[in-house]
Amino acid sequence: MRSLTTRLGALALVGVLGLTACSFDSDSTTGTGDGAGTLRVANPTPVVSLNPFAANSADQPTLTVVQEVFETLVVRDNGEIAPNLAESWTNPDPLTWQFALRDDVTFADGTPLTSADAKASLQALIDGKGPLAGLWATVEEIGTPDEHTLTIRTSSALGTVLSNLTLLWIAPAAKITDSAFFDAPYGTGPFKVSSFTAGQSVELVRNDAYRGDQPKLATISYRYIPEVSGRVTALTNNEIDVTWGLPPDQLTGLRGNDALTVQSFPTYANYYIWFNSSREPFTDARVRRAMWHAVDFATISGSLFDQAGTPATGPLPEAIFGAAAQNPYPYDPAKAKQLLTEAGYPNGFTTSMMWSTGCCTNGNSFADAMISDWAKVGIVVKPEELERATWLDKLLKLDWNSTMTTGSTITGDADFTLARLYLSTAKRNGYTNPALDEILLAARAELDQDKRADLYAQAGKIVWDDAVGIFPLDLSGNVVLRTGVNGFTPTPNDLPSFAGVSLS
Amino acid sequence: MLRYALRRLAISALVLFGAATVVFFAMRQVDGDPAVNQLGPDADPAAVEALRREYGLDAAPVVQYVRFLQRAATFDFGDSFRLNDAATSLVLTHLTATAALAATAFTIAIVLGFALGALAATRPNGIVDRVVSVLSMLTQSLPSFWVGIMLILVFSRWLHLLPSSGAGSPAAMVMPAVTLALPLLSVVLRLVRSGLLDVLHEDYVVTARAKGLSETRVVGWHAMRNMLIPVVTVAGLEFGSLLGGAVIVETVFAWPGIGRLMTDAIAARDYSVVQACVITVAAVFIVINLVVDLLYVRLDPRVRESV
Repeated sequence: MRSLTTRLGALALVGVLGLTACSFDSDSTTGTGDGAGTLRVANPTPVVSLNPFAANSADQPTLTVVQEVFETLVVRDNGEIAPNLAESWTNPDPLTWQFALRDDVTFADGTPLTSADAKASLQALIDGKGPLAGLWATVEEIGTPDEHTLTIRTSSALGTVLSNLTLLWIAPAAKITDSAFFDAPYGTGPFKVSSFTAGQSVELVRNDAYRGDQPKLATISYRYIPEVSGRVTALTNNEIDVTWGLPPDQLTGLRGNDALTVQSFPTYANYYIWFNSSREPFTDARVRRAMWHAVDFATISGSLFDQAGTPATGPLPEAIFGAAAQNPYPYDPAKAKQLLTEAGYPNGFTTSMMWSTGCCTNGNSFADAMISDWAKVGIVVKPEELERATWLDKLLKLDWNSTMTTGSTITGDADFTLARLYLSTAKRNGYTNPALDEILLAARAELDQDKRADLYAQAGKIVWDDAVGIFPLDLSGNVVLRTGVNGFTPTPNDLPSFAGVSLS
Repeated sequence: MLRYALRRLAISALVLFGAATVVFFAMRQVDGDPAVNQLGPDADPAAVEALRREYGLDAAPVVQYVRFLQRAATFDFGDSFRLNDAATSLVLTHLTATAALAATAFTIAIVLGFALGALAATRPNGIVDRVVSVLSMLTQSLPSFWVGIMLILVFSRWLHLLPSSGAGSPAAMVMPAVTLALPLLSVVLRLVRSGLLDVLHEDYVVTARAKGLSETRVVGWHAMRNMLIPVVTVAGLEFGSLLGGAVIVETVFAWPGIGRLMTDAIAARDYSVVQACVITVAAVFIVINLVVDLLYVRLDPRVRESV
């Protein structure tokens, strides 16, 4: 009997030891002293495609990677448009934009960049019929008068061309229609793709043909870790060097960690709660304003968002071109009650608010807090948390009363959000206002950028004062880096770029 | 025997056909349009329509269904809407990752389950037995996401022994496999323990002992053989659940398996991948069941007679 016990015990022990004995090399940062090496990145959302011309052209994870590989004709630098692949541009007439491209740029395979590549890229974005194609709806003709001149002619004046171009990535014309190219694409940017597994990982290597300062990093390795706690562990455990998009409660803990640096910065993204203005009782602007006055946003954001957001001053975050501060809606339940009475709802009403799972930082707590404040003035709001696909379906059918979401103005230009969402023809929230339409269309057709900014300030005031929605919070981005990752500069588009990063 | 196997095969084909039909119509009953999901809310309606045509979703459901069956018969499930690849090849790569995990977990559970179960049964109510019973109750009742996170905490964060996630190295396999193995381990362990206790006092065991056989041979050969049937049944079914049910473990450990592929595909209304996943997992279940049933015949003379 004893011998059996001993043997079985030994067998069990061997099993356990066999499992734990597999040693694990913590493959730490491969820094070599000159700042080179591999930067290990964990992206919070999966990169499902590296094609920036089609369905994923406005997809943040896709853009995060392609910005290291491709370049654009112009860039937005501290809010101002600056030359990049295009050296200069003019408007020979209000319908035509003419760009002079640099003549010293080559793709990673050595072929020189020409205007044909720029033309093919714009054509690919239009033909790709993705979410950004609409920005170029009025393009009539793309011309290449010579190797380094590109012209874009539109059917009506288009003042947003420069902003739109900040999201037009220039890829080689010879490859752009080949879908296999996007398995390992290259462009004129500082890195090129060496391997890509959709939804899982991307490996970038330095592009030695890059015209600018050579990046210090030899490679960047992105992998997707779905669980927040998994990403935090990988970071503190030195399995990755950088991640972002962590919820505020996690950041509080990480700020005290000596091995980590937390950077928070303003972004182009904000929170908003829309009302369906085509549905009772939200057809009445007084009801919508009452909803706003009824909620104590200062207290809620203080307790829920820590450094993850700042109170909004307008329907667009301040960093966006065309954003302007508006008159705040103070927390005033008495005023809310009074507005409800004027609108014919002295005892409040019952409605619902939908959102999609995971849509928003601390979304469920935020919804709970608002719902409890609304209840205090007699408005009963039923929470409806939906799967994203279902939410999207209802949203586009206008089959909802109110909805909570977050959004980003990725071009950094007010037109992208205001004209996309608030034109009567957009049919996104049931709000129709010919006066607003006129301003937004005039702004789009205005080539003088200062005048455009004025027009967006007026448009923003209408959206805000009419309370098409509540705009409580501008969102801050956060990036957490291990100590030893140097030279990272955040950008308000919240697409972390690592071209300037080195390791020590 | 041959007739039995053939009949089982015919039933299996019917079950597979049923699964394919259910998943095809169930996905189309759920709200949310694949093309809208793919292009987002800002796409031009004409572009959405064009994409629906490209996906073949503009045809009548019955027409789509017939096309789907025709293609499925040749293992062609179409291209993924979300990932730029054929659904079949996506399913195969992800199934391989999950199968590696499930096979490791299964081995751990069987080896440790038999060893600990036998250990506990040789001295019922002894200290070892009690410790093992409590442990088996714990491992079965603790949810795997919690166990996974605790393992990460201890072995990655505190001891720095194992990578916390990913699928790059054998070491990365350890924690997800153990997490996946634990519930099955406790099932096997208890089956082995109670099965052995039942037979250890049977006459034939007494005879075996009386013949002077060593205790190892008595337990390990004569007694074990008689409690294999329930263990094979349960283990077979559980291996199927390991494949289909690894989704939580795959998420916690960022393991690129079929469970995650399937949930992501459902969320994105990626019909072709969902269909390919469900049918593949169903096929695996059916094959395992078939193997289990055939094993019975091999293991149990009574079944062999009746077939």
